[in-house]
Amino acid sequence: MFLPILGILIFFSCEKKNQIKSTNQKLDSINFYLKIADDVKKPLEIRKINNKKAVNIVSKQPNDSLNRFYYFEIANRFFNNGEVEKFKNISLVLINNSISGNDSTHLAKSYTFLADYYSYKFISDSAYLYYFKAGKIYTSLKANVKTAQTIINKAVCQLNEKDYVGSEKSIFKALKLLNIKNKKLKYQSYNLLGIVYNELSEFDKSLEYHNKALTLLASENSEENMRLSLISLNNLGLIYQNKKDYKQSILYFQRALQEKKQLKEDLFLNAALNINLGYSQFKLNNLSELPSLFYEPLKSFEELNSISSIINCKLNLTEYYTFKKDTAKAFSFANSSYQLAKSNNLPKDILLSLKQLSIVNPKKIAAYSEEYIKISDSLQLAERKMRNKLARIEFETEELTVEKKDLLVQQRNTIFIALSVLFLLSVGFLIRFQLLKNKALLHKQEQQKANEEVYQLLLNQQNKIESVRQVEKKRIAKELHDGILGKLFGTRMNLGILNNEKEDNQVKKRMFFIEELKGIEQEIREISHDLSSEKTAVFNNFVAMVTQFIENQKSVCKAEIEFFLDDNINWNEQENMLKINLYRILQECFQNINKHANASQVFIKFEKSETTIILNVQDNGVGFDFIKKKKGIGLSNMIERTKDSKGIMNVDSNVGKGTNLIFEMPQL
Amino acid sequence: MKQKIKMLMVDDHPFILQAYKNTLDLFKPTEYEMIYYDGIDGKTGYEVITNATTEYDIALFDISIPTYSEKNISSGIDLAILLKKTMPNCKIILLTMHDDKIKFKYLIDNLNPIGLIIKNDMDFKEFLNVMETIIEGNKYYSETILKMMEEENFI
Repeated sequence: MFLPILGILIFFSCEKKNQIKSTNQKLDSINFYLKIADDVKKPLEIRKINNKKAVNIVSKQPNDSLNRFYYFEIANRFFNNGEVEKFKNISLVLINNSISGNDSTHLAKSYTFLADYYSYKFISDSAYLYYFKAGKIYTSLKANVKTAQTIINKAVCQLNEKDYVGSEKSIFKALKLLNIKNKKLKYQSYNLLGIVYNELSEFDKSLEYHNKALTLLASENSEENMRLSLISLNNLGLIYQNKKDYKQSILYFQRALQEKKQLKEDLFLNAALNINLGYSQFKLNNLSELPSLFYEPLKSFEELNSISSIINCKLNLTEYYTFKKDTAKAFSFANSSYQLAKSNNLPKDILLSLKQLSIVNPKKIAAYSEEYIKISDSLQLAERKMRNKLARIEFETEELTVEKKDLLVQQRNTIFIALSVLFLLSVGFLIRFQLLKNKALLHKQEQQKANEEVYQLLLNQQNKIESVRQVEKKRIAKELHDGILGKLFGTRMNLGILNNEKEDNQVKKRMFFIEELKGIEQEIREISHDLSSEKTAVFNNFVAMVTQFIENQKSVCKAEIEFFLDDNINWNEQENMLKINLYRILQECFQNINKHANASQVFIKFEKSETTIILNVQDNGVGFDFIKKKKGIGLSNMIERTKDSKGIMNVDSNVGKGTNLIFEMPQL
Repeated sequence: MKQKIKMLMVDDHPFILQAYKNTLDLFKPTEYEMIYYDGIDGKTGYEVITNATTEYDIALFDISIPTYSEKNISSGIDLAILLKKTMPNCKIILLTMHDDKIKFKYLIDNLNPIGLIIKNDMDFKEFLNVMETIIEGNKYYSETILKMMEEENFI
């Protein structure tokens, strides 16, 4: 399949009308030059000279909005007069001036101009980049039509780089921005869609859009519309050609060619229509107008120096002469198009030429094929790279801005969320802190109360013991007074009697009194012992208190209680807090035993080591899981009190295996 | 013919009672024959007074004796009061270990015993002296009691 001269049919963005209407003297001279430079009836050289004069004046003016306006006019003329490098330079100047003038509208337009230059030079990636930059500014200015224009231009770049799907997407994006009034851009969009769908081999869709484009033009009968309709007719013809409906294609080409007056001014279009018509005729084997239908356009293209089109013509001629079996001529055309393509570095055309060469010169088919494959591969690679590049340009910049925006929003959100979370957390924390504080306070109060209770108990015990001691004192005094003294008195009396007696056989009686005195000694010893034993046993109120407690428990607790207390512990020397803590721990233990343990035997033991006092509470009840219960108030109290006395608590308990609690406190 | 003296003694120590008897046996044995009646606490003291078949000449009470609450006998004093009612002519001697001033003042004011003795002031010889003094009809207050009375201008 062979597709000629599509490129030209979509490039027309820079052909602009002169907009100048001015009054100022100096400006008038600029306007004068510009007018001549734009006058197609004047020779090209004259136009170029006048444009240069305009540049000289404009370049001396300060960088203002008007100055930039003139630069744009000059740029237009450079482009139209084929001085594209100068056009590029002016565009660069305009970009700088717009940036320093802080003029975004003109900056966008300058980007478009620079992009037009690259597009003209088929440097698609740069063109795409600058269209993209321009489009961004237009979008921010909400200039929908201009935005749409840049998107369409981007779509052209994508089309040139065979990114058909991307191009299609861009065009629809542009169409969304357009309304019913933007007929010219709509026409461009439809025309492009037609071309894209042709490339995608969706011929029916392609025809549909080309027809739509043509219909748009019918509403207004302008010269430009006439020219555009001829382009559309050409394109429609080409689609039918691709569909191998050559008859139909010929109808479209012929319909276009009827507009002779129009075509006289448009050498290129005329040549294109002729060669396309010729190719269809050739395919239908209508050779009456051939090969002149190939030769005449070739002449025109050579005049226009349109290399690609020249190659197309020559390749058509190769096909023609191959068909005519004039291998010499065929080879000559094929070879010359190959050379032309190669010297102009047009890989697609090289490929087409090589294809023809291999047909006309089958002897060298291997060499041709090899080169074909090589070029084809690198071309595909280059195309793919380019497509990726285009996608990347947009993606990267877009991504950056989106990221930036996202980042800002995200940052704001993050800060907001962080602040609110922080606020909530601090409120929560405060509440919790207060609650904990209250709880801790309550707990402390409770502990205080408990301590006071124990103090009270100790005090009560003390009083009790005091009174018992008093009674005991009285008892001992009475004992001494009534018993011992009485006996001593009696003995004294009796001994006195003995002294008075004369009989010598009173030895027996004396012996009796001596015995009596021994008895008195014994009695005194016993009383003395009572007194000293009171010091340890009766005096010790803690032991009495614990003993009392255990006695009470014996009547309350279901289990059998065994109680052992090491007499060697010197309780009076211990700190009151230690005693209170031990007493409270014992109470907690019994509370647990009574409530939960369901034990049948309880063993309580107070003993001492060299440096510690050890309380051991053992039961054979249901046991518990320390890890789960350690937050329970009872256990935590025990832990706290153990800590308070700088002791160690050892818990040995398992569900179903009883409990063994050991509290070991340092002693004084 | 020896003069018979019926002697009532109450002390909770039988050992002391024995000492009294032994001492009194040695008091002018040629002139007097002692007949002893005794009790060892409030109850026996009460009974020996109320169930008496004869009038006692001399009664000797230890103040501190086990009480007999049914008859409101809480000390030797109560026995002395009881005896004074039933046998007003009996000479009463009170003995005590205590040296409480108020008690003595009370005793002198209300009971006026013929003998008032702190046991610490007493020994075998002094007891014989006590007997002689009161048999002659004179009051006997032991040394410590006399001292206390002097101090307090009792007399």
